[in-house]
Parts: sequence; C-alpha cells; structure tokens
Amino acid sequence: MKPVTAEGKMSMFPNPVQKWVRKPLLLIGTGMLISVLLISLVGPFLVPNDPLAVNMSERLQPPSEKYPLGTDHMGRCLFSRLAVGAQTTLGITALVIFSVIVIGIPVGLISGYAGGRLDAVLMRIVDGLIAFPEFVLAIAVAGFLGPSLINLMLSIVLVKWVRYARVVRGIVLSEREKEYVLAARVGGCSSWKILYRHLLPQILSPVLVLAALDVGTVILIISSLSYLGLGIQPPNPEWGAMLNDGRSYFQTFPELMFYPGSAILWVVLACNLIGDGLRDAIHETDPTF
Amino acid sequence: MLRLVGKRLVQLLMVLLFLSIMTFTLMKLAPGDPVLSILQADKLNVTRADEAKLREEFGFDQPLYVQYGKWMQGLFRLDLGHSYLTGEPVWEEMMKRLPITLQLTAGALVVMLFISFPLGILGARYPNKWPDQISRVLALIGASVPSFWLGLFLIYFFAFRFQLLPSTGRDTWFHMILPSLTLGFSLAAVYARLLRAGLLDSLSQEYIRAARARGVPERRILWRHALRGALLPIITVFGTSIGHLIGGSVVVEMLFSWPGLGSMAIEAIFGRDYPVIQGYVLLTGVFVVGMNLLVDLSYRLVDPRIRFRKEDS
Repeated sequence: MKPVTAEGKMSMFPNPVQKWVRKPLLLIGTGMLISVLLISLVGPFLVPNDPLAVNMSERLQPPSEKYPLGTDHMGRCLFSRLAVGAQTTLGITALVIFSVIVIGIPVGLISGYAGGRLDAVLMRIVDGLIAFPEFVLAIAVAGFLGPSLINLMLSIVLVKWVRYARVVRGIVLSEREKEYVLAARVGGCSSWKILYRHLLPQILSPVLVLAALDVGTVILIISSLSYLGLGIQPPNPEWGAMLNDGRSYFQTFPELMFYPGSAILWVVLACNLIGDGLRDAIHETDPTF
Repeated sequence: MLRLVGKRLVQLLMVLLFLSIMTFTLMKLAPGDPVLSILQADKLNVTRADEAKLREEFGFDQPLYVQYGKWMQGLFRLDLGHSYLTGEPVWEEMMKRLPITLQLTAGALVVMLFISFPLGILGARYPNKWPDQISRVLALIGASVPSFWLGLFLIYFFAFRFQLLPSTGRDTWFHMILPSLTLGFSLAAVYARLLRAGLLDSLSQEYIRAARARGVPERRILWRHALRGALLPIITVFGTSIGHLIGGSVVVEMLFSWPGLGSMAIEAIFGRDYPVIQGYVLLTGVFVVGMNLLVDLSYRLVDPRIRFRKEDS
C-alpha cells in the first residue's frame, strides 16, 4: 500500500530534476560537491604517495613530478594528504549528520505525538541545549573527555540533534490533528504505525533540507576544532589539522595552509550553494516553510 | 510582559541547572585523577597517606550528590575552585579575561556594522544589480570561509607581507583591527543579507507607498521609514549571534594570541585544568543565555506592535 502522504511529499519538489537544472548556483554547487566526492572516493587508491610517509630529507619541497603540490614540514606529500583528508572530513560529516537525524527524528516524533509530560521534559532538555552556543559545548566535551575524533563527533551530535527534534515535533504537532491521522486511528492503526507510516514521510523532506543546510556548518565546526587540536589527532590527514600543522611555517611556506584552507572553503561553499538553492526552491512552491 | 520575563527566567534557571549537572558529570567522567596529578607535580614519591589526605581535603571521599551539593554551594558564592595549574581562583582569573574577550567581540560588532550596513542598503537600493550581486557573493564567501583561514590570510598579507598591522598582542588600537575583522567578517556577511531582505520587505509595505505618495524624498524613506522596520527582525536574530561570537572568539584568540577567555579555555584543555574549563563553560553559558534574554526583552520594548499586543504566550 502506498502511504497516503505521498502526494503531500511530492508537492514540495514538483519536478526535482527540472528545478536543479534551472538554478545555475545550485548546479555549480552540485558540480563542486561531486568533484570532492569523487576525489574522496577514488583519491585514496590513486594518490602518488603514502600520505603518512615521513621523509625528512625531502621536507618543504616545491611541486615536482613526484609530489604534485610539494611536501610539508615532515616531507609528506601534500597532494596525497589532501586527497585522503577529503575522505576523513566528508566521512565524519556524513556520520555526524546521520546520527543527528537518527536521534532527532524519533525524539521529535515521540515528543510531538505523545505530548503531555514526556513532551514537556524532552522540550525542556531541548530548550536548555538550544540556548547554548554549539562551539562552546563542543569545547566543553572535548575539554573534559580529552581531544579525540570520537569526542569531537560526540560533541557535535550532542549540540545538533536538538534543532532537528524541535522541527520534527513542530510538524508532528500540526499534522497529528489532521483528518487523515484521525481516519487512520479510527481505522484501527496503532500509534507506531501512524508514526512511521503516516507522519514519518511528512517530515523527511524538511529534515533533509535542514541537513543539507547544516553540512557546511558541520564541516566548519569539525575543521575549526581540528585546527585547535581538539579533533583528529596527528599524523592522520584532515584539512583542519593540516592547517594547524602548517601554522609555524606559514611565513616561509604559506602553501602548507593555502591548500587545505582552499579545500575547506571549496566544500563548504558547495554545500552552502546547494542548501541555499534548495531553500529557494522550497520557498517558491511552499512559502510557509 | 512580567509573565514573559518570569518564563524566560525559569528557562535561564533550567539552563543553569542543566549546565551545572553536565559540567559536574563531565568532570567526574574525565580521564585522569586530579589528586594524583597534583601530588606527582609536587614531589616524586607519593604515599597512600598523602593521597588519602588530599582526597579528604577535596571531599572526593564523599558520595557524588554530597560533592555536587557542596560544589553548588560554592557556585552561589562565586567560588569556582582553584586552577590546577596556577593555583589562582578560577573566578578571579575569568573576571580578568572577560573584558579582554568582550573588547574583541565589540570590535567584531563594529566591523559587522561597518560592512553589513553599506552592503545591505546598497543591495536593497539596487536589487539584483551589481552592488547586490557583490554583496551576495561576499555573503556566500563569508558563510563558507573558515575563520582561522581568513585570519591566517589577513596575518600573511597585512602583518607579514606588507607589515601594515601587528598580528599578535593587544597594546594599541591597531592590534584590534585584524582579530576584529576575522571574527566579524562572517557575521557581517550574514547581516548584510538579512538587512537587504528586511529592507526589501519593508519597502513593499503600504506605509512606504503612503510616504512616497506624500512626496517624502526617496533617501529619507529608505533611512527613516524602511530602516526602522527592517531593523526589528534583525534584533531577534542577534540573540543567536552572541553565542556565535563567543564560540568564534576561541579560534580567533588562539590565532592572534589574544589573552581572553577563549585562549584560557584552550590552555586549560591541554593542561587538563578541569576547574578552569568548568568555569569557562558555566560563565559563557550564563552570559549567552542572559544576553539572549535581554535581546528578547529589548525587542519587545522597541517594537510597539508587540508591546501593546495582548499577552499571547
């Protein structure tokens, strides 16, 4: 059986492909993102050198045939580190966004549908967390539990899920009073079935847009925390950490920071172009969003 | 109005309670034993008796809820404990650092105003013409550029290549320029777009048409009539930017060796100085939530439409 709500979901994106093509910025953003995705998928197999191989006799080399972008202060191939770093950054971001959605959706669904005391308690927690600057909370977690990749991801998820829970709850609150939900309940649908069959499809596209808009910020938080030394630990290549590595050499070798910085800017710009485009596309069809 | 203040104060208390429990638990979860690290810093051979004595002194031998209660009592007296590293009281250290961070955020706000106002007004005055396109591109870059990279760029060109401005320290006003620019730029980009949207929205309102019909000059319409309407939604958004500024200041302070709260927090993290980290988290939490409350209230005071509306929340 097709879910009743299929039409409702479709109206948000009347013809997705057509929309995509008509917006040049959206198209450019997608192209930029695909290029990075390709590098992160293929890069690790094609890189010319081992990104971790230290070679002190060839440190701070200019670009050459062996090292397309030269080497860093420990003689490691910059190009290889950048390419492998793409995978690290994008992988962590995807994992963080995924966890945030996986936590935020159920909490919002249950909170909005159940109402009452459970809703009140959950929303107070959300209120408490949402008022708090995400970066400071991330620093608190990393600070107490020690700098590491897991703690970095944990802290970002801890801050980010609340907004998703709140958005989902808002949609559920407005949807659960509608007639189709009532009809489903009269028809003998269990609460669980109403939640995942009827309400879940309603919230998927707004949540996905929210996620698309968040990808850029998450990448920025990850690289900022790594830059501070709170994230990925050396010698693993990650763009923010690479910038931190190159800091003491930047007067003489600004390239060490120029490349990873540009890479971050490129990805985040791509994500923001896509996010803005998606938001515009929805605004046109659904001004209430 | 009073009810709203009450409601927000309750929320503030909730946040404080939540923060205190969170920092307390995180501190207990933190790896490493503070007693041992203090003892080992003082002398080489530590006896069991030394350890037990210090543990008793800190109250670590008591159950957790007693420790929490004691700790909360201390909080109300602004006693946040002493730094493990320097032995200084945490509260006093923070009060020394807070003005330094506020100076930086104030600088960032000035930068924000100086960039966002001209860009936003130009964008609204010539929508979709080239000034608008420039501000759109700048806004996109502002939202996408990592602040530490922008800062490094500024240091490279202005402090190193052309030696126009100092990059570290805070002796003169010139020292503030680069850090403020770094912290304020992304904010400026966001607000330029917000101002443009707000202006375009209020320019399409009927009272603007009425003013035009009365023959009010276009310049005056923009500055007097439209701008007032456009500023209100911006004030509401401003609450969220305070947290952004405080968070962003950590990176910027680290980059420019600016001796504020942010560098204090980073030093504390790498020195495992838990009381200081705890103090930092509590102070910034209270500060941000409190400022948010003020922004919310002020915006209700500024806008007569809200002030005179029946209480609905």
